[in-house]
Amino acid sequence: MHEMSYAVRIADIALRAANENPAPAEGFAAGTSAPAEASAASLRILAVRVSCGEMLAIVPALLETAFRECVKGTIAEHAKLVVKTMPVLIRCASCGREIDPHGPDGYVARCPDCGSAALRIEHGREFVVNDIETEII
Amino acid sequence: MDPVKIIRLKESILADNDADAEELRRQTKDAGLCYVNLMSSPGSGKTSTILALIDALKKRGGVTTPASAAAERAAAHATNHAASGLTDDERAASGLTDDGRADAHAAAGLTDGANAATGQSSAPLSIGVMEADIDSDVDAQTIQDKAGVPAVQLHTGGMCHLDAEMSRQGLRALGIPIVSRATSILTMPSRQRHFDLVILENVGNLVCPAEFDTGADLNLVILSVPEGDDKPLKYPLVFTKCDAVIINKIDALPVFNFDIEKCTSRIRERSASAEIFPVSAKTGEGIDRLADWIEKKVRSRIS
Repeated sequence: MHEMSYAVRIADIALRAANENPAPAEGFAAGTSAPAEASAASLRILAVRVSCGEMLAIVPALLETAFRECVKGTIAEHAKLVVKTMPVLIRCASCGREIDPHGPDGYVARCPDCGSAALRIEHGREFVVNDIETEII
Repeated sequence: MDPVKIIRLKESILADNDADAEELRRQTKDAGLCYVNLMSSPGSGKTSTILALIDALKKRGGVTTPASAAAERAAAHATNHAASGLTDDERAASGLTDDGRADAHAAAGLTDGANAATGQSSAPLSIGVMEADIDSDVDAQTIQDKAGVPAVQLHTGGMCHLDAEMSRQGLRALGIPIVSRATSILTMPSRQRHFDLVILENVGNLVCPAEFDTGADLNLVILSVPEGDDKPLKYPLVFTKCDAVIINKIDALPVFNFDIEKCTSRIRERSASAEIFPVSAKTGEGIDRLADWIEKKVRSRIS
């Protein structure tokens, strides 16, 4: 839920990152240390790639729709939001065994190997902008 | 030259509120306050449980109505002095007259039983409540009328959850001087009060409040018997994140197909460490055990 709030935040992160990594001026003359005049080339964002943990109950399609609205009129207005859903993965903090709650045993209360209750959710709750893909046009 | 460039970020989308919530926890620690977030579906009995809890805390060691922050400090000061056995001269030198001490004691609502003889650790708690709803002030009114502690009503304007900054607004409405980055002097409470414990009755919703850290020290979830023992399967995030699950309305167990053992093991699948408290806010069963746990948590947080 709250896909619009998250989309605004994602757009923020992406646009700020693009601003902080501006397109270099084109046309450095080979073999000289003198840059040519900066061209009128500008940056646009092609893609924004996000990892979204499945436990957050965020709907990728809604996030994509909200994102498209947020970025209208910006250098990201044709950007594709690519959402990778991260399935929940649990790890036993005592013995390191991975537990997949999508398997037949589902969510267990104790590690099947060592019986420990110290089970940590390693994936499935993250929500991160991994990278943005930019192009000089 | 390759025109397409990948800029690696790994930047958290939730970081803003998460960081803000951590900041609020630092602020409440400084203010000597324990902030508790209570979540559930609508109708699980959040308000009733808060009332039963305050009632139990009153019976255990008293609950004060906070006077001004200055009077609270004076009362605590006076209690310290008496406990440490200072002479009258020494007390006078520290600026407290007998009259002032008596006034401060009265203002802070301290009973005779909770004075120097018993020491700081059983001093009554000053409790405030924040009620969050889309509309109506029914809950805040109920708390004030029945529990006699200050309660403020937060209207969320349609929002289904609270975040850290909204928590700050509520805490200021109670009179606690908690600063926001955007706070101007005009929004700081003019009459400041001290609380040991503030309980947020979050919006009735098991989905959204789990996503947003309110800045609370403790997150509690109420699950009531009529809702079914499979609730922990349906709402994974909130049951994963909570410090305790209160199973309310156990007085209704005979009428529903609710298996406490199954419910407990389902909670354990989400959280190995959450405390589980079967209670009835209506009959009071199990409330003392909950009050005991909360009081211990509050006192260790505010000391």
